[in-house]
Amino acid sequence: MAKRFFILLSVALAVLSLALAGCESLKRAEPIVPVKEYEKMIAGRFDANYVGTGNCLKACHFHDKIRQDFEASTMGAQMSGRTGMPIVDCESCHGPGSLAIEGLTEEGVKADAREGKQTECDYDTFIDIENLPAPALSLICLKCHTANATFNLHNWNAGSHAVNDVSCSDCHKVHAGPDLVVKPRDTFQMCYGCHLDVKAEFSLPNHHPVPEGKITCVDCHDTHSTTEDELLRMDSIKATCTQCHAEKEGPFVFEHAGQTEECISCHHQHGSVNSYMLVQSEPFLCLQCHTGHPHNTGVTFDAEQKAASYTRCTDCHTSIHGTDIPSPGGGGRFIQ
Amino acid sequence: MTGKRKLKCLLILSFCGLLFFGRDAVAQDYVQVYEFPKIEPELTMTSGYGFVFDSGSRRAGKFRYLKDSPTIGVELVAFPIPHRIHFEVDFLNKNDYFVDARYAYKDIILSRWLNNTVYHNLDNITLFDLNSATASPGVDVRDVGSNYWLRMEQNKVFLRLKTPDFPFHVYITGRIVDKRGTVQKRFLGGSGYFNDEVRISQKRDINWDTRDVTVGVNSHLGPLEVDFSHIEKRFDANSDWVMTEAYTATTSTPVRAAGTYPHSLVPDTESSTNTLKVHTTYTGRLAASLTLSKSEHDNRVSGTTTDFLTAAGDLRWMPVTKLTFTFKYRHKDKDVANPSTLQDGYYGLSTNPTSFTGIRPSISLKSDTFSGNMRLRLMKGFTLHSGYTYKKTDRTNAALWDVSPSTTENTFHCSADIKVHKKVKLKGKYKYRHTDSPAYNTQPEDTHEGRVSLALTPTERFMAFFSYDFMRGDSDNIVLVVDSIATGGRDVESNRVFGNLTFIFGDKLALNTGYGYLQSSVEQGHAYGLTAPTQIIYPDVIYDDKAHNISASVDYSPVENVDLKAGINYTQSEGEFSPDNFSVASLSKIEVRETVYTASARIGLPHKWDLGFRYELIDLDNLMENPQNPTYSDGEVHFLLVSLSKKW
Repeated sequence: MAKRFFILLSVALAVLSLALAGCESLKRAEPIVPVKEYEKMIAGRFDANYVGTGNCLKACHFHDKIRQDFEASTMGAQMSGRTGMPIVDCESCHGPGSLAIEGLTEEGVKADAREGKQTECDYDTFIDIENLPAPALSLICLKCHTANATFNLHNWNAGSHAVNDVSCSDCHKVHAGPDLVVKPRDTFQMCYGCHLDVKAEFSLPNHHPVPEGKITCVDCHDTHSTTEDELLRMDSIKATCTQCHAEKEGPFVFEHAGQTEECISCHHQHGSVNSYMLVQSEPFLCLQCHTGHPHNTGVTFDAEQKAASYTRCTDCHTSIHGTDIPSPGGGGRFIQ
Repeated sequence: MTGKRKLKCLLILSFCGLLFFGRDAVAQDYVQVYEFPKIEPELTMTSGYGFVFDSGSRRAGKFRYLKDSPTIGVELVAFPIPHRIHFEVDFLNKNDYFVDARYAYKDIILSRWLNNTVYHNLDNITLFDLNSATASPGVDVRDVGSNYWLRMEQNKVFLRLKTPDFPFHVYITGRIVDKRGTVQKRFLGGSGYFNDEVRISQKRDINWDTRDVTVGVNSHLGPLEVDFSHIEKRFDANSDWVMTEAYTATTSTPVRAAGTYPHSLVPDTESSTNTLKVHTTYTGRLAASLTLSKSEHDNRVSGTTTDFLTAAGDLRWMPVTKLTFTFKYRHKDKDVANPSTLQDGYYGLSTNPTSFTGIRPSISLKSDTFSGNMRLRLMKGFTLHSGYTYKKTDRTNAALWDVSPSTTENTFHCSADIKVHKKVKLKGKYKYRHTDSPAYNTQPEDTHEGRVSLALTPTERFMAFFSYDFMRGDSDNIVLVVDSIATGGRDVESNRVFGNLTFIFGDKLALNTGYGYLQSSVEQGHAYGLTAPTQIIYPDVIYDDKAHNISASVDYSPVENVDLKAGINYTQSEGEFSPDNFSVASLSKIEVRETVYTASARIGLPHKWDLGFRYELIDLDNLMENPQNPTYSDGEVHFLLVSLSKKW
């Protein structure tokens, strides 16, 4: 019993030590093994020193609004040493600022201000953020956020946004205000900026109410990437759709084989010309895989039966997503 | 070394580690405490009234509650640091409102509540009796003139707690989706056989709830970060979970006696999922993540179960900043277990003969996907991407369903991003996929997809974007279920053109125009009847749909504190199914024109008051008037909102 207790205690302490070690490496904000190019990209110039936001902005009030917004944001809140989190300030992203303010004095800045001039720093000594390639730009954020238990970034690095050169700042405007989160009802306008095809799909007569602002792109997609294609929020297409359409999820006694794999075999997720957002209208949709009922034989079907059968298959096959009740003819024909 | 000694050594090492790292933690107390700035809170309150005028088809205002209503809006942003508060309410009417409330305390508490509603005016589709002289197929319309609607309310809550000074998080998320309304239910009555068919439409009240709760923890374990979460999801159809109908007797085998039987059953379901996520990064150049997820889904009515196992691994390697490799692996295992037979008396059904209730085992799946991608920045302004994906899917019980037991997909893609000039960007993309033995005819054996786009910003005041997308797919010989009837090849095609122009005139006027064209078509053979000589095959039947979308918007600020906006969004779409020698084409043709006009104004008044107007006209014009289906008739909705707001 005692031995078991000691094993458990040892394991717990070892895990705790490892955890603290991980946290410590974070606090030092050091790469695990220094790689020159990486450090240069993140730090900017090695011959510059960190001087702190206070020194950067001591005399120049040009950036005060940005500073105030930033300090009120989630990242700014971490500027307190008491949080034990990395100190996030201007130089965390822009690189060390000693060279930028070299030669400037508080008096000189004030003198310029009296003449109505803004004293400019030597911006060229900062990281050239505007011209960084997207993966490097994202790394400025990821240096903290991939090592900060930010688990919505779990799949970011191999996700389609990252692979296709979308960076964090394409969506998050760090200097726009204290609120870095995009408002849910504004997301579709932001996404439309790149996805014009999706915007057009949402204009079709049958669509999910995204343009109306009733649901948002992020209800289905996690822009930070997931394990699924198309950045789907859930583990599969069906799991994503049944977040809202749970009545069609099943499992059912009688399953529709096509629905086993994909809802999008039959439905277009954004919008369609056809009712119920079908990719093709009925009965064409169904006749792609299924043989139609007999007709034109002079025996079984007359014109009325043809019309009845080939207007909407789902008028009769009403439980097409699956059912627990057998059909009148036996088995699963989705009639009941 | 004995076991006891090993344990002692391990304990000592652990305590040494704690002491070592604890020393730095103590040293942190000497860090100067930061003084947060004082930021004044901002509060905006809006009150107004929304007027709605509608005529014709309610489809025109399909996502609007078509009643007048007072409106209220509140937006509060306050930073009494270390507390951070955001609160936003937008109440348009009792069926259309939105709430976003966020509260955070330092980085220790992070919480959010999101609420939104969707109101949907649904169609009342008229079942048309083509020949009232014949009893079968007949119609029984029990819902003449009924207005159908659905209201979905979604509440999402999120709470994350963090230990002070250490990145260990506990979080809980909850989601409640409440769907209520009156919907149309169409189903088949009579005996259900061709000699006794009655198509029925009637009302159905629904009251469905979906609830899911996620509880999780995450933290650092040295260089690794680990997250574990557990999800419970439950769907309840509540009182109106099944409908019943008096069916006549079936005369063909298997015979079912006349009686009242259930139909349109919506089962209660539940599921639970455990997910483990691990990731690590090595200076950002090497990043890896692993996800393992196991899920169990139960149908609480029939006892059918499905188990899911998902494994996912990602690896990104950036040897130099110009070159990036990403590798992914996905494994999915879906195991469905439906009962082999239903018990006698199951919802009033007799299992005599057993063929009546015979159950075909569902398809279970296993798939493995490997993919590799490369990104190469050849020179400044010229980036190449390429990638390859291999996917194999194996299915059980496939023969029972006439689908392929195994499908293999090989996909290759490449793209180039070229900055021809600082103001001209060109992108090209191509993807080819070959599929061996697709399970369903809707998946082509060979697919070619591509996109070309051009972005121009000749001046800061003019931006242009154009793109063309295409897709071509084909299969050599498709086979229809049941009886494996071959109907020849299948071709699919899609073409899309998009354009967008933005003009900015000075500081006061901006104009944006856009055009989109979407076209898709499928050509394949259809078969009617199961066996010769009654079987008929029509080759090369074409389905085609296309849509044109034109939009324009203008923003104008003639003087300070006055903003005027106007816009138009015009969409004309049509779809057609043209079976040769088979006269149901008119029933499958659709042609709809929808135009949305919007205009809004905001006029700033003294003392931070604002006067606002918003007008919207939706004009739905059905170009294919179909007397057999008056649901799709023309309609108009006018919406006017007048509001007054005050900011503090």
